[in-house]
Amino acid sequence: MICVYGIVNNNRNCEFIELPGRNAIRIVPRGEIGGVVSEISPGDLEMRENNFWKYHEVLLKLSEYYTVLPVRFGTTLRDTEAVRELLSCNYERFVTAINNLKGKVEIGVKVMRYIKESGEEYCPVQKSELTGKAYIMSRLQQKRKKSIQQNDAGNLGAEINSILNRESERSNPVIRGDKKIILNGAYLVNAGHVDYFKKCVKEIALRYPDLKFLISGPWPPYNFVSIKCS
Amino acid sequence: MYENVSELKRVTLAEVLDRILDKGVVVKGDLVISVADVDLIYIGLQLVICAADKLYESGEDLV
Repeated sequence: MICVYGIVNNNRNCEFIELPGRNAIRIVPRGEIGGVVSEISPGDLEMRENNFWKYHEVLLKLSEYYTVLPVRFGTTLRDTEAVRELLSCNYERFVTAINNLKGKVEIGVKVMRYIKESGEEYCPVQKSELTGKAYIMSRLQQKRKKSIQQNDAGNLGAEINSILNRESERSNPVIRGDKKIILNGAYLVNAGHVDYFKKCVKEIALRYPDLKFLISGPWPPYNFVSIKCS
Repeated sequence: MYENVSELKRVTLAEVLDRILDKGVVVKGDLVISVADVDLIYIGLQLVICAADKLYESGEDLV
């Protein structure tokens, strides 16, 4: 069995990538593309933090040289022939995806709201303090207030995403007004525009002092590869 | 100047997991992972591991 890390825009035979602590990583070619594979050693695919980091490290290294379609952690194939078969059966899809992602990287942006300790956003009423109608009215009022806050947070998330969307090639946002993280977005940007995009995020953050922004990446374009194949 | 912005110089495990387990090319039927030295071989599954809340959000049933 061999482990498959990704599909790349490379058709050179037996190109090796050396990374400490890994079996030799090579490219199995098929036409204009190749599958990046390595032999599996016992424990390589164990669900351990160390293995996740190693897997990520391989993909980061690959993305320095190639356009990469990352393959999900733990994907294995029988042998080199099975890799060629996978590449052949999905050749057009892989080539199209690689061409669409050429020269682009993913930047992660998380936007969080502060949940105040004072309970300004959510302050449960003690049942013992109120009774009957007053208690029900109070709960309804709280629910309404919370709903408005969630709605506002959702709108904020959508508003920020809309700006970032304009500054990127594509986006993959999750907007949740009812969560602490109101926007969890992945943005596809040209590799040469990473600094510009990050600056844009920072400029936007100045307009929203009550929100916390977290930027990560550049990543290989994990969020922009959605290919399921057999 | 940008007091409410943090740029992660070192990515967190959560960020990595969110991507390597949940995104990318999915090859049906060829996922092998192991837990505590026991190899688990899954055949015909597309989804093996993801955060429980994601599973609920996606509306899929827990198997």
